[in-house]
Formats: sequence, C-alpha cells, structure tokens
Amino acid sequence: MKFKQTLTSLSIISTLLASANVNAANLDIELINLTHSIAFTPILVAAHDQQTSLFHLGESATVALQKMAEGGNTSDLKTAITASSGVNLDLTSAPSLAGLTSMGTLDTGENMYLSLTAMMLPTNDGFVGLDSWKIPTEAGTYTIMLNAYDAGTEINDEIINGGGMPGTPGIPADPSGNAGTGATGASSNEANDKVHIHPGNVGDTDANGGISDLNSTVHRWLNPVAKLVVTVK
Amino acid sequence: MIKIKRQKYRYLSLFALTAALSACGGNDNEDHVVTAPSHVYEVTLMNITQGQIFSPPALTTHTQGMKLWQAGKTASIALEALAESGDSSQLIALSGITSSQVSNAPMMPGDMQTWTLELASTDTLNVSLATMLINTNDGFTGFTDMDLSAIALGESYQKMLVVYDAGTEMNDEVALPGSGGEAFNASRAGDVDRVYAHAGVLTSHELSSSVLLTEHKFDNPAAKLIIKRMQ
Repeated sequence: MKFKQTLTSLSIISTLLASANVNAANLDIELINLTHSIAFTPILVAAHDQQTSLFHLGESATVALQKMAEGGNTSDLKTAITASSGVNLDLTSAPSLAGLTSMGTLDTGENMYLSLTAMMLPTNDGFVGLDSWKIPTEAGTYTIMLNAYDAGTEINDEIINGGGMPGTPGIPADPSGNAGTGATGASSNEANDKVHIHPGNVGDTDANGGISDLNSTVHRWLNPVAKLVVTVK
Repeated sequence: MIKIKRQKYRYLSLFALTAALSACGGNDNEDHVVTAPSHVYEVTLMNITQGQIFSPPALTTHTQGMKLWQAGKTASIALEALAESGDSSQLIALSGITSSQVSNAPMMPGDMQTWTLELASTDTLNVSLATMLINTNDGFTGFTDMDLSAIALGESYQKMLVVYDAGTEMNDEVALPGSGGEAFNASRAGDVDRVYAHAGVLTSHELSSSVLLTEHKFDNPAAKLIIKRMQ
C-alpha cells in the first residue's frame, strides 16, 4: 500500500516536471499562402503573454499594426513584443508570393500565446492574422486556417501608387506583376474603423483605368487565406 | 462537511437577497431562493463586417432541439420576415420560445453588444440568436440551438459566425431595407426556397442595377460570438 502511494506521488512529480518543460515550447512553424495572387509582406510570428498582442479583432489598430497593414513594416510590432518579454520570429524577410510555403522554428520561452501578421499585397490595409492562439502544452501538430483582416485605418481605394506610410492613401505595389494604372478609386469610405474581416478586393478588368488598379479575375480571395501548421515538439 | 453546508447556506441567502432586492424592494421572501438564477451567462456579439449593419439582434431561449433555421431546409415565415426585413417579432413569438431579448437599436460595423442571460436550473439552456444584414436581400447571421450547459463556470466559448441566405428572395440588391428598399415580401419566386450559405454581394460595380457600394461587400465570418458563464 505504502509502495503504491510512493509510486503515485512520483508519477505526479514527473508529470509536473514534464509540463514545466513543455511551457518552454519549441515550435516548428509552417505557413502556406492559399491565395490566387496575393503576396505576403515579411511574415511576423510572435510568442507573447496574455496581456500582449499584435492585434485584436473589433478594436482600433495600434500605430504599430497600421504600419504593418499599410506598408508591411513590422519593426514597431516587434519592439512592442520584445518590450513585454515576448519573442519574435521573422518567418520571411521579403514579400513572398501566393502558393509559397514559409517555414521556421521558434523557442517560445515562457510565453503561452502565439500571434502572426503579414500585410497582403495588393491591398490598402489588409493583412493575414492570428490573434493570441493558446499554444497547446501537448506535443503534436496543429493546423489553423487564417482569415484576412482589414486594419480599418485606410479606405480601400485600390489605387497602386506606392503609398505605404500610415496616412498615405494607396497601395505600395503588386509583387505578382498584375498591377493596373489610372484607376479612379474603388471606394471612398471606410465604414468600420476597427480591425474587421476584410471584405475582399473588388478590382475590375480595365488595366488602364476603371475604378481599381487591381484585376477582379486575379486579385480576389475568400477566407481562409493561409494555412498555419504548428508543431509543438 | 458542516463547513461546506454553511457556505452553501450563505450563498443561498445572498441569492435570496439580490433576487428580493431586484424584484420587490427588500421583501425577504424564501420563495426567491427557488427562482434565483443558477445559470448566468454573458452573451457578446461583435459586428466584424466592413460595412453591413445588423438589424437589432434577437437572443432567445427555447425548448431543446428547436432550430430557428436549418441549412438545406425551407425557411419558416418567421425567419423569412427576420431575413428580409430585420423584424424578429414573429421569430420570438414562435411556439417553443421560452424567453427573448431584442436589442433596441441596429448594430453598426465595429459595434459590440452584450446581453445577460439569467436562467434557473429548471429552464432549458438552449439558445439561438439571429440578426439580418440589412443591406442584403435576405441575408442573416446567428446561431441556433446551442446548448449552454456544456460551458463550465468561469469559462467562455467563442464562435465565428457566417452569413446565411434565407433562400426566400432573389438577390437583386435593390429590395434592401437598409437602403430604403422593400423589406418583407411573402413571394419566394426567384430564389431556391432553402437556407444556404450566402454567396456575398456584387455591388453596383458588377451589377449595374445594384444600389450597394463596395463597402457593403463582406466575407465570412461576419460576426464574433463570445458566451461566458458568470454563475
């Protein structure tokens, strides 16, 4: 009887030790761009605590998020993560085209939540995102389908003019090489100034005019736009 | 054992007190112990579309197994009324509905709304919520026949909600109550007469007769639901 008790307490201790080890998770990260022709600017993956985030659906975008969503600049987001003892992984450091798979590894340390952002090009302020996914303590492979968000910070005029700074209208570029010119603007109103689900590109079939510099047969998507595969080791 | 019992008693009297205070101004009646809610939930809905306004959402409790709609099946007239005009009055009057809360105002894009559901242990814990996207012909979102008993105390449940088409009105993008067009029309001519996943809107850029603008376009999900059990 006594022997059995000891065994039980031993196994409890080893379970506790095991779960303590799992808290510092080593993750394999794989992101597949599922779209037809939408590129992702540098993909930021961050592990952080419950109080920190890259974005929250339904809340106003931070300036750091706006810089990423309008121009692909992740530096302020990374600074904010580091400042709260989180860790960053640049899954890519240059725009990656539709269809590509990006891979990396991340040691999360003590951080229990995972987030991801990358601007979608060509869009005005669209981004693919994961907000505060709780990292499982159990080893295994987990698949999460990701949606396209709109930062709510810029009107979706769909005019490609190189504009990527916060407050500058327009789209920086189309890495897929299907950009039109001379558009008059697809929209003149941003009806939701919080982070929301992106309504999708409109586009048109006039490469030298029309309402949009985007091509409606090339630049559209439906959710989900990316598949994230996380392996907890 | 005794300690536990005493604690329980303390909670009970606390319930009785709050129930009495809210109900009839300090009349400490023992009966209130029975009617005090044993299950309290906070139900939060977020409009996460770019530019679709939600009609005042209707949150209902009802008998177990009751469904306000079923994908692939024909819509009730009550659901048709909700999906075409945003009017939930017929829906909340359906037989089987045990309680309902209808918001006073529509929900704008980016809006968030929270309801408190107070249920006794004898009540059914099956809930549904429905709201129209008022700049569609017959598009709506919500959830139906969710059993809240699976949510443990202090835990919360999240769900992303997609848009359904009631299948009761052709999507001409003109007869839209949100743009001053026709609301309810009993005819189901021109649509498939079954509830299906909404295909989205074209807007005037692709359908010249449409009164919709690009900002009315939407993709799924259209709403985020959070249900938290408080008690």
